[in-house]
Amino acid sequence: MKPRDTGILPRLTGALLCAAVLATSRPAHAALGAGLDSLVGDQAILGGADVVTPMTTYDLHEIKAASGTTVREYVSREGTVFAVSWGGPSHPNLQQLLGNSYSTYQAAARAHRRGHHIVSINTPDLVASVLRLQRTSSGQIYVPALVPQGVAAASLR
Amino acid sequence: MSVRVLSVALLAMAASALCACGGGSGSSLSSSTSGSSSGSSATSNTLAITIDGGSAAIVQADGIIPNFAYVSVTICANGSTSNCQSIDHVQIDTQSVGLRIMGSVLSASLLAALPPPTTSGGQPIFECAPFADGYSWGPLATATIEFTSDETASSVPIQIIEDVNVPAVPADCVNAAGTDYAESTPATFGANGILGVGTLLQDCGADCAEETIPGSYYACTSATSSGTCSDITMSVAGQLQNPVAVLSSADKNGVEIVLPAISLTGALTASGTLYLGVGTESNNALGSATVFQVDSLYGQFLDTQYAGVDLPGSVLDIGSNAYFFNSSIVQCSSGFYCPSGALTEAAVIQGESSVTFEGQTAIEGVRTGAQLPVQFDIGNAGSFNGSFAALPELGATGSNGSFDWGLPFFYGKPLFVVFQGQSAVGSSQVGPYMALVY
Repeated sequence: MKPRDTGILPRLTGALLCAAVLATSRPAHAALGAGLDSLVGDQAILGGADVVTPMTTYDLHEIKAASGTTVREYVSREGTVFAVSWGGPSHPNLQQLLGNSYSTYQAAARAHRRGHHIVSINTPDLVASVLRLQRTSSGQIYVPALVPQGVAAASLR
Repeated sequence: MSVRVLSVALLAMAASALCACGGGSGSSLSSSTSGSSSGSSATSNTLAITIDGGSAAIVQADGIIPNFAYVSVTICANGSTSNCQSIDHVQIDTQSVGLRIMGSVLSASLLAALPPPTTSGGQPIFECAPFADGYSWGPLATATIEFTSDETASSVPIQIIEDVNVPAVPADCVNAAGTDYAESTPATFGANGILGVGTLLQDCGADCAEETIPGSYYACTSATSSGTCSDITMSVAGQLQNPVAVLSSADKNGVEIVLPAISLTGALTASGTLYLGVGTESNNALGSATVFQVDSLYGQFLDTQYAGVDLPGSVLDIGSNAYFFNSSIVQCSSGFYCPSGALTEAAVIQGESSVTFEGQTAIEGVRTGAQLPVQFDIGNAGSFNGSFAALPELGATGSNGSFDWGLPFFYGKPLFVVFQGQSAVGSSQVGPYMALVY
């Protein structure tokens, strides 16, 4: 059975977006770089349960969206989201997922254009790897400075 | 051979003067391409490919775009043989489906004859095409496509990419794309259009017919800038169709893309051939090509093993202009690979019957069919000749879990695409699959 794609953010209204961003507002960032409470908003919007797997130095939160896309958020012991990844039939709303890092992502994506299917960014502020094809999207984005010591980037699947 | 006849600017300015093509244009196209055809085919099934860095307008805005394969496609008002226009510099893509053309390169009279189809409620239908690096937005149109003098498809849904006097882009279109970068002009898109001949028959498929999917189809209250748009479902038949798959001839089962072998240091330009059909004519036989099944769900993925890592989200992608993969090879600041001397790398490619996603690199693929060991060359992107449009050693960082075999891989290695549910004449294997002559 093919995963049904309802879109990862069905009808995100301005008000909802505003609420999601406000709910996640911490001094520096929302979402990526933000506190654990940003996950509550993500979970509601993605329409899936948040399954938490404790790792040695962080918690892996996995939300299987109604669209069939899996979104993973990596949360440090201090409660900060330091990485996100996803894969599946629909593209997550990066503005929501990345919070204040979204503008950094957009600027870097334009500065490192790779054609229509790939985004590959490797800067001190942000590392991103995105593959966007006609019917699928997958990606991994993290803030190097926030990754807990001893955690290999390759493990942020 | 020169495919580019008129610059984009000239096309736009001389819009109304360009309508006298039709049969004449078709026959001139076929006569110019038959010379490059390797076989003597009864049916003219070849389109000339040029890799020349882009149209004059694109080069002026962006500089030379290396490794983009362009063809010219003639678009007509639906059912017409006279209100037609040959559009040069349409990029070929094997990882998307459907014909999308920049509205700014179409003549006023042709554009006027391509009104968007409407919903049962009379609302014009628009589409969002989300990409990793931006989005393209604009109305659908129903057109006749003349590939060659012999190969015509009628009543084909296509997209006109437009940002002038159309409704504002819906927020969920931007969200479905990677960024808010509008790819709505030849300069921002890198082409006058895109000819998506991936393995699937429609760009979205059954999912869009069953429910609304943000970032796909929309009904607008008006086709002009006063309109507002909302998500709609779209019947499979109403969606953008793989334009080759709706040909009336036997050549609708797939395509073959042949690019010449060129010097590893590159070339100013390169010319190749797009053959319609696989095994259907004397010039497009599958022969000894290695067949790679692609996953049936998404119709795109196969497997690559590189540097000891299994990459089940890999693709054969003539629409990407470099090898995109992650490696320990030295990078320039741009992220392109810049080894001090050219490197010959090794990998193994194999088909896949299915894939499942968890996180990005937590992709599981079920491998099937023959394993093909391949070698490829990566040069120093910082030392390439900037005037060359054909750069076979161009590589850059890519996406985790994936090896994107971009156009450089296909210089001298013919690529076949056999569509979903189709088979090549002479082979029992059923698509979707791709095949490579290595």
